[in-house]
Amino acid sequence: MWNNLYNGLINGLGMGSIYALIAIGYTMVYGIARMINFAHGEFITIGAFVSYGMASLIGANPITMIICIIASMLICAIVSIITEKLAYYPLRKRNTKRITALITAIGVSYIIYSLFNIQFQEIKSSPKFLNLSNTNLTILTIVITLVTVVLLTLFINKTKFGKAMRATSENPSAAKLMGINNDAMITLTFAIGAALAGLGAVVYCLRIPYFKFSVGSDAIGLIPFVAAVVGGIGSLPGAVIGGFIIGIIQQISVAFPETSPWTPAILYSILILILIIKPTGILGKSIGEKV
Amino acid sequence: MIAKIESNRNNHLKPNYKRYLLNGLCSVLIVVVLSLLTNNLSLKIIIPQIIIFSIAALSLNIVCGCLGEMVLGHGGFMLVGGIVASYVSQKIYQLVMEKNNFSSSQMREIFYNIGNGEVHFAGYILVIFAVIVGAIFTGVIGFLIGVAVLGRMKGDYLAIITLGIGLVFVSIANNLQTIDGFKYGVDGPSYYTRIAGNTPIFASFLILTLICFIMIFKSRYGRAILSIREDEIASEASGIPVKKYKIFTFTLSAIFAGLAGGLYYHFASYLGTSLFSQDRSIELLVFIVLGGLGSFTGTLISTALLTFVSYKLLLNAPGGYQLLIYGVILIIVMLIRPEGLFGTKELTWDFIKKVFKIKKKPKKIVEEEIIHDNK
Repeated sequence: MWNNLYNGLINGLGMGSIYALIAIGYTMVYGIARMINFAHGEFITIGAFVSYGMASLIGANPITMIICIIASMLICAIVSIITEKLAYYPLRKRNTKRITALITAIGVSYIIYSLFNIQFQEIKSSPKFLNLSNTNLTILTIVITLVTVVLLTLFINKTKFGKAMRATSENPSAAKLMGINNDAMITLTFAIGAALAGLGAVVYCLRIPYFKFSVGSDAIGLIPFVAAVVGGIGSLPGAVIGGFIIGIIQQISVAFPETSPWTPAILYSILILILIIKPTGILGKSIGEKV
Repeated sequence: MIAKIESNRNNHLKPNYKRYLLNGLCSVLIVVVLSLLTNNLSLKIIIPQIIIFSIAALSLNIVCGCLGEMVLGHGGFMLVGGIVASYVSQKIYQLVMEKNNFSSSQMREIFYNIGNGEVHFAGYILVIFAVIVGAIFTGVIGFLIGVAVLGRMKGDYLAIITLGIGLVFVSIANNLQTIDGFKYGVDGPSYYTRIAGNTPIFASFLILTLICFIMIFKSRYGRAILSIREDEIASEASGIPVKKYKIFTFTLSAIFAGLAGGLYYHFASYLGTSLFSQDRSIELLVFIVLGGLGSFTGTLISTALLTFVSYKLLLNAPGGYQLLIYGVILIIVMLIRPEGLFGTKELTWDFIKKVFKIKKKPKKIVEEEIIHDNK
């Protein structure tokens, strides 16, 4: 009993920090472009496969892990910029309904998923960068997440780009009058979100022995999205808090054999309850409707 | 003269028997043609699927297209309807068997003969009853969810919460190993009651659905729902009880989704939760987006087209290509024609005439007559 609880807590902190990294992408994109980016999960798949490819080229040890992280972040960001320019930018320019952006995101997610499905059928063993015990790995994951979040917060609050991003998310038309290029800021947000998903993918691969093409959509799936909504979609600290809450609840539920098969039901019930009690999530701000 | 104008004005209220007759004949013709078409084995599989998915897509379209709210968990309602309908039909089958001490071969003579696929009259009654019970149960669940959810949130949050509801249904169904000894979840129940190849039953349910939806959307209720889609605040200011109509639409949608789920079980005699997972909800969304959000005929055409294409792909192409094609279709449709093939228009005789420029001579406008009369 206590052993299960302890293991669940440790795993939960580790998975929670990964969910937090990925949830930041959902929450930032929603905050600035007001769209639910259903294609975000696929960037985990891209990141995992890029790190696998790089590791098989240059070997797997702690130094190459940093190179792999940088490579997978870069490639995720580039793919994200390309999809943003090809699929979402034309829609935004024509000022279509919000539903169309959501459906386009589903389309992008289908395309990336099925391309990986067609190209990589077999299961890959994840690269062994480090040889750490579960507890140490969890501590490392938490450190990586906290450092990333602190750097991101500094970037958003202190630099010129970060201020421009905040301005765009607060009021796009006023930001445009101040000389801010809204489209560039939205593209930058998509790129940062995807890069964090790439980082999350490499860290996630440290915890699992094998992965395949459905790692982003089935293994992790919508759980980071649930985390972002629970924390308050649009809020960066909310995404981190939500990620840890959802991660700990999920892993504790998995650790007990009685509740293990009910884990998805528990997670999505929490989502429904939070939305019914406080639709904007734990840290979200409600925006009044203008007539 | 005034009497004539009055009669013109109230023309649409009089029953137009010629039109009713025409519609009735068309419905009978559709059923006959569909049942004649199903001699071919692959058509026997594909046509009932098209009909069932059409019912599900139409029921999704009245929420997404006509009310203007996103629902991402429609497959969950289909799952509920399927489970309840299969439970009811199998429970009744078992009860009849136990009460009368029938052997299984006697039961086959009464209900359904597995050997040659022949369905007897009692079998039809049993299936129709079970499907309707499933639909009503789903409707009750949809009503409860609507009451809990629709007043509080809309837009993206409603989409998220319906996504969560669909996933919770799937997860619960996965864990519902047995109810009274009937196994659900991954394996699904085995079949005693099945109407697989009997297209007329499916076709008449589709026609029932269409009649129901068209009549509702030609009435005051339908106009109120459409006005909520156009502008919620303005319609609330005009005295339309927005929440009531939203719950009404949501419940209606759930009822017909449950109907489609029940029919799917009695078609396939298999009820794996993977059939009604998140992918199914998104697939239904693809159907209605391609056909046009708010267009019933567009939904029918796109459902038939995409179900046929994905069936052919499933037979001929390796896995993965179906989703690739769906993704490409979604993005191209959204970029080129965001409102779908038909938009909110319907493919009616008037529309076809307009397209082919077959115009009648315009009638004299009534107002001119009024002015003339006053002189």
